[in-house]
Amino acid sequence: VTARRSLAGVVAAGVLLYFLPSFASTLGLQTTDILFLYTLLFWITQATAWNIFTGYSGYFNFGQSAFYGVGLYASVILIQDHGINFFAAIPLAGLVTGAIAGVIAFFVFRLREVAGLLFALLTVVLTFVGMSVAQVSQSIDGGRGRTVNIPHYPHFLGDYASFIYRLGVVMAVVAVCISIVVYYSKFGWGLFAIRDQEAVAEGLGVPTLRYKLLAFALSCGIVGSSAAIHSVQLSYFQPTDVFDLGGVAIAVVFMCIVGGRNHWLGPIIGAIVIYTATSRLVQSNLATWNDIIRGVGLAVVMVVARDGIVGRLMAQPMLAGGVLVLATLLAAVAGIGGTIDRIAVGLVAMVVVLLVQGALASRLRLPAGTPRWLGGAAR
Amino acid sequence: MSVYVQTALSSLLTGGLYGLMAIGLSLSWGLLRLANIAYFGMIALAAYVTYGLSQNHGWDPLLTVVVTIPLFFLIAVTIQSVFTRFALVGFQGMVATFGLYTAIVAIAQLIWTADYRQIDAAHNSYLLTSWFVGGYALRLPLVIAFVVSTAFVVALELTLRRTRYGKAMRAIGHDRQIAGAFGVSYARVAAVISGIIGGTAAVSGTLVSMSTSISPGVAFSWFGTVFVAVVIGGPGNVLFVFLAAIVLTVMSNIAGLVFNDLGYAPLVTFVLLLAMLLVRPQGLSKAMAE
Repeated sequence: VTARRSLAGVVAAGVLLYFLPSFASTLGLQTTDILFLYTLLFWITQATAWNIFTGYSGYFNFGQSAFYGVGLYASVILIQDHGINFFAAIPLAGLVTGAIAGVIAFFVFRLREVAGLLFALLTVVLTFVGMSVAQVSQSIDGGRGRTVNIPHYPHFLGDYASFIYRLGVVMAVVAVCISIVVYYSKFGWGLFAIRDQEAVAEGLGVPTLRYKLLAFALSCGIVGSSAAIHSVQLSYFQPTDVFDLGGVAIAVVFMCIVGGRNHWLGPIIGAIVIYTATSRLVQSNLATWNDIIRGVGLAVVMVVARDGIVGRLMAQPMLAGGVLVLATLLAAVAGIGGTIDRIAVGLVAMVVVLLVQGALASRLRLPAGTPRWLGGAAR
Repeated sequence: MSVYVQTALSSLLTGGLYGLMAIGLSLSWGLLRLANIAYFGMIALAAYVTYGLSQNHGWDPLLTVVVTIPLFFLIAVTIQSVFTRFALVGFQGMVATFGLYTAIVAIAQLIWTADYRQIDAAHNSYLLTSWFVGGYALRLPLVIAFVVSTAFVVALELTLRRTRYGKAMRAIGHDRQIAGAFGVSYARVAAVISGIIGGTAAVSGTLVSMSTSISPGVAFSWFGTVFVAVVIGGPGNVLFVFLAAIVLTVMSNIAGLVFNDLGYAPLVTFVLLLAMLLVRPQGLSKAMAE
């Protein structure tokens, strides 16, 4: 029942978002706002895909950049060198990426007793291998970079911003729905069992190897398809930008850990908070500071809030919503930047309050009768 | 033919430097159970410190180790004490070091920009000197790097094998709880191990700075060789990891030469790793099992 309700909610949200550009002028949305929303949806897709493998199975993947790169190059090669239609190339790029991921993972996962650290480090190395292959292979890139033109698309999708945005909506809905279906299925329970105690899971009859391979291929397949769409928005890319540990890989890790890896909602919340907040830094030409904040932030979050905010958010929805609205309004009254900047302030305030409240509630011995929004026990 | 011999000789020397880097990761992974990615960032930072002291203050690059070793010893011990305090090991620790690595790269970019930097050889003419042995050129900075690395590795291996403190370090790598029961203080020994790792990063960085040009993301290109060397040599091992790095570097560079492009060298390293995993998994996994 919960699974069906979640799916229905996501699809309904998707339909609403899909028709948003049609009412852009009524709502006062600019093209930049639509593109901002597209990029946000791209990050939701990427973070959700990462979490399907890492969050559910517990094995860490630091090499999402590598598979993002494979997806980008697979789609460009299919479209430009083999004359495949753009819309057909999106699922195909996903298939190629997922297949490559599955084969590589097979080599590692057939060694049952190998520690997950080996896999984690291997994914780091993969990023570099991908880059060097793309650099030297003339048929992939050869170091010149690739230019992507806007493909022909049906008229009903609207102007360019609406077109890419609507693709982003569909992709995000597909990714989140897959994540929900896995989360509530036997497959998902198997993955959680692997995360908690792999040996026990194996003993209880969970086909661990098959599940790990399937989850990794699925995760990377979504990454590849999403990258195929994103290639149009990038318009130009080269191996050194794409196969970058500081790029997609660290962004999704940060989003999922801040949001929470144990629930399908975690990556979505994380992506919204982190992308909205950091895009402001990038806009103010503080991109390098963004990298520093993200890197140090990741280390700090591992110390103070390993499980992310999703659990606390669901325990205290009123408090979270209240702080979000209040801080956003305060920012508006104080006259900070545009609408997105104000929401960014609200989101950051919400995260801080949730973390501080959670930490205080668990440290302090609160008197009986403390209201729940202050961390008191549920009645 | 001669080009192959020349490549093999140069790779042998470079391999020594990779071997030194691999030692740090090996100790961290094998003894502290921390796959420390930030370690690569420390090497890059040490390389920049050497560059800065040599370029702006006229130091002999080799002499800068008197600054870099204590500096990175302290940095590594500080980081380790935080990790010990908050019990950051395994994946949790790796995520934290992953974050620190990207932050270090960004900080390096902020201070030294994304440009490639190389120590000006005008005041340190030995950096441009090459020795000729039977018609093959050996670059002096690489020879120095190889000799220093080898000396460092031998000293470390002897410390681990022959001294009481080395025994304590290995005991922690085997079983932290049981070592504790025999009176080995984890926090203290872990601090010393991390200090050694920091020192390794410092020496590696200084040697890198002397022998090549550096950029903020330079550490990224070392991951492959270093990681595979640690896997083959066995995490926690010193001598085997060092030798594995040398063999790997020579093999992958020769293979790159055969394929007419050194850019393929990382792919060769990676394929070797997959082949190892396929053919001799038990030998590997024994050392890897947690």
